Amino acid sequence: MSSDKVTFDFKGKSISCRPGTSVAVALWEEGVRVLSHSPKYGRPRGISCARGQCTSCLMRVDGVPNIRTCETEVRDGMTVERQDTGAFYGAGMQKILATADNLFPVGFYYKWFTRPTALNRVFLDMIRPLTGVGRIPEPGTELKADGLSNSLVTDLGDFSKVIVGGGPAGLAAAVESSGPVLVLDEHHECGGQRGTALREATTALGNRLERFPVLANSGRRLDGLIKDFSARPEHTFLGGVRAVAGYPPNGLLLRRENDLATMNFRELVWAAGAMDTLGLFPGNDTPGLIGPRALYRLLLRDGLDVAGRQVLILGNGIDSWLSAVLLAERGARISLVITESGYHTEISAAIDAKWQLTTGFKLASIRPHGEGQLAATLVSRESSPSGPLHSHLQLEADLAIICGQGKPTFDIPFQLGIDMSLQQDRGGFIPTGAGESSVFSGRLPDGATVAVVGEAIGETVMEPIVPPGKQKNGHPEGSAQ
Amino acid sequence: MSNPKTILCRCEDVTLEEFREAFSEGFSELESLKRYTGTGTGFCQGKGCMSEAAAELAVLRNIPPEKVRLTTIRPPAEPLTFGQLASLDVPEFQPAREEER
Amino acid sequence: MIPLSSEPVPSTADAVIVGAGINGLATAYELAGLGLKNIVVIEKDYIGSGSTGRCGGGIRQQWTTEENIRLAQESVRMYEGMSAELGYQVFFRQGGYLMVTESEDDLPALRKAVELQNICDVPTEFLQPDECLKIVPDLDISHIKGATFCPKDGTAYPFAVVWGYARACHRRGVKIFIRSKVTEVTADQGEIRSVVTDRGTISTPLLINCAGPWARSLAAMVGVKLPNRQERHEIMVSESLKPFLDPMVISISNGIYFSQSLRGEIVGGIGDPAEPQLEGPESFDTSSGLRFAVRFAKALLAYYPRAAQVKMMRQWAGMYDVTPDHRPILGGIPGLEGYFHICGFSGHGFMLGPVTGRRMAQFITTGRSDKIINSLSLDRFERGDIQTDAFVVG
Ligand SMILES: Cc1cc2nc3c(=O)[nH]c(=O)nc-3n(C[C@H](O)[C@H](O)[C@H](O)COP(=O)(O)OP(=O)(O)OC[C@H]3O[C@@H](n4cnc5c(N)ncnc54)[C@H](O)[C@@H]3O)c2cc1C
Ligand code: FES
Repeated sequence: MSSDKVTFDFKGKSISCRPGTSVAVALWEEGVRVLSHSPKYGRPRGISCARGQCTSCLMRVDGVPNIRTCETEVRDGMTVERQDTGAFYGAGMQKILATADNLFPVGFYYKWFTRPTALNRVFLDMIRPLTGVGRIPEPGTELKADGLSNSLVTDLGDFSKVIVGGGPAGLAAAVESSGPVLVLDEHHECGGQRGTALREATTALGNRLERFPVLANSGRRLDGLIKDFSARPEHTFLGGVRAVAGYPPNGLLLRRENDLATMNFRELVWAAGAMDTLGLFPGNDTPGLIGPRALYRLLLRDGLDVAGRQVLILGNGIDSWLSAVLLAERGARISLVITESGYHTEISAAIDAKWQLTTGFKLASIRPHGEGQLAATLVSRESSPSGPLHSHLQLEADLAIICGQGKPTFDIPFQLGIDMSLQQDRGGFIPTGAGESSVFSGRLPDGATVAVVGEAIGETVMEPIVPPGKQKNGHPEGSAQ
Repeated sequence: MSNPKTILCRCEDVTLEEFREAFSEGFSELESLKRYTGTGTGFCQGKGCMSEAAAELAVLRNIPPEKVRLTTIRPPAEPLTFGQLASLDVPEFQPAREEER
Repeated sequence: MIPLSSEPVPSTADAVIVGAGINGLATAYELAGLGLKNIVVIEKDYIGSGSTGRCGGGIRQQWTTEENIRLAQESVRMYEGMSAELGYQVFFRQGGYLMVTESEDDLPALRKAVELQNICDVPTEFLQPDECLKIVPDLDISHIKGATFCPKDGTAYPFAVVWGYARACHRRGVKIFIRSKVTEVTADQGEIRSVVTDRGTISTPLLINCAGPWARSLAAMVGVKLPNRQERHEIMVSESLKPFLDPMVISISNGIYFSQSLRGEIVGGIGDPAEPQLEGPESFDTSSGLRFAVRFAKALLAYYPRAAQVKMMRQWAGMYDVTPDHRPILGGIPGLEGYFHICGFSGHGFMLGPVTGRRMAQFITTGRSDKIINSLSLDRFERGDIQTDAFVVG
């Protein structure tokens, strides 16, 4: 077994790839862009969040159903299968489902064939095998609970203050703390979701860095924070650990790979950042369409090979520039659709770099195109939908990155009993009353607190240089209709 | 066009249209819309769609977004196997903590 | 179908039912079917928000008291025709219930229960441990000492049931108001006069208490003291998979139950002996605990190791409304004209709701009580006519 290649089986075919990458990326590079089909309409789905937080990449791996292949490292000899090749979704059915719009009116399963009882029984017998995605593992393949090592428990130490998220917000909170704190992050290094991406981009740009002030400023800020954090030996950073549940009153459940550990906190700082938001527009689930955070993980964690690929980047703000620089450095062809004003220095750098630039258009829809590619339809921002033909523009690409305002991560504070409400200008659900303060007590025991900070509360932490007049809502127009 | 659907909830394959239709059938709150359409009940447990659904409901009901009643988000935040859970020691019982909301 | 929460409630009604759970809605539906007009259902949260929407949807006829068996049997017949009756799919599936025990000592009671159930025409059989494998092939029978199986037991989807009833109620002219809470009830000269809600007062001669775990507090508003206590119970669902498990498996030894829903999820729970009995909503706590998740996972894998790599998706909690003998409280109160209660289901009100709603509707409109309603009336606790059902599990 040589160590520079890993071979696994997909549909009876051996696929060789470099070790350390994820199954989803290995397949993408082999040209397998469709990893699953959606449960009702049979729509093709590919890598999307690259963080184990959606359904798009679920496959059967070594006989275990619904494995998040974006987070599963390739192993020699593993078997990877698609799960949706059952009778219902075979051959022609998929095409019918994908085009027929009103085949399944909402809640059809509550309404169809309720009478008479005999027909109802037949209907239920018929639909039962169609529901559910994936088959339960065969007996004997089970992972024994006592086979888990639970080494995580011993690593946690005895901290009363825990910071979840080692990005700029979490590091800033740590630097301000007096007592020892534990900083946890699912990434192995601190710096947050953009950390390694930003470091790579600033290094690669070298003396061109000042042509991208947004990256230069953010990079300096992050470097400063990491330096200040390292200067505090009483603090601990633990990477590769994800908070996977909050149990009232003050319990956290943590996971590192297969191991779980629990911890009760006195003070929790929730600095878990934001999730990518793709927005609501026709074709918003097309394979190849991802957000910038997913892109950073795919490039830096999995080493996705983008050389020669056409990539479409929509939006403005740090993520579009960071994505563009990273992709360009790795040999991708860049097409940038700029949706806001500002960023004059960056735009002139982009022109010099000969990136394809489009302004004055907004995204209307995306659809699959050719072999694993996608096509985005843009409409002129001035024209009406029924306007003249030249107000439409079609751009084709292997990947499209939508750089919108992130969506605050809200689940664990919510599970801990903190009241949340929808604050659209902050990108999603945040604690009610956030703004006046970021510290909440919910149903916590006396003296315990949860502070929600940074992008988890809709604040832009990476980009201290907000151009004057820039709206907070940095969503590419048209994607948040 | 061959691909006109706008997907609100990917996991359960719920389109924006279907969500609106369910509202017009009398499901006027996220709690019931979620269960009727399936929105937010899939693998991601609403991470991908609940705020979008809440925003859409604010529009449908013509109320400010922050007034939309949210559904309770339950643990865990990501699916965990029974094997993983069974590997933990049983935590001590904790008596009831607080008046219900 | 259901007015938005901004609309006011009517000022008069012929009957006000408190609670839009299965009992409130089934009763409203049946009352309207018997010709009662102007029925109003008042619900403080949303339809199914009480125990009904939190329950496991299990429907079984395997009980140890004759009343419970007969009621459940009648309910099963109603569930069999419910989708057609309501014109709404309630996903009732009869995969059977496999009740197992790990104790030799339980075996005589199991055999006796089978006998009684057979007398009532419920087709339960007693099974030796290895016979269980015919029903659940991957069951770990190493600690099972015996089991009973009734193929006609099953599960339904609780929300579909309440939505189906709500729509059918609507067709019969019943008005359902959500997000409206009963805060006070007035009675005068031994008669119900009006119901005060946070959205207006309704004068009515008839108040039907279907408030589930809140029934005790509602009854207290008219001076009726119910012996009910409330108990927190947790439950969970897994990821949804292709069918692999036909029946509901339930253990009378440790209180675990699990089945596979028509959506493909494992739905299951386990009782926790540490949960205290509570008195009233001030102490309700429906947050989720890791203790439950761990206890459930361990108990599940002990019976069904094949689920070790199946993932738990979410867990939640609800309240049981428990009476001293674990049997519901039905009927009215002598000296308080126009007040009725349908409560105290002790963790099995979903399976009984359709039939208790139907029987109580008949009782309310005709005044003729039947044998079962008689024996389940509140004064049984004074009369000392108490028989506890031994098969309260979960
Ligand atoms: C975890 C769990 C699992 C269960 N599993 C099963 C099972 O498998 N099988 C089974 O048969 N049973 C099961 N049960 C029990 C079953 O859920 C209940 O017995 C049944 O749902 C009771 O229905 P209900 O209509 O009487 O009460 P509920 O469904 O609780 O309805 C009462 C309603 O009244 C409303 N209300 C209360 N007070 C007021 C007020 N003042 N003003 C306005 N509205 C008010 C509440 O909001 C609520 O919606 C389970 C229960 C739990 C908690
Ligand atoms: S879970 Fe893998 S792409 Fe989202």
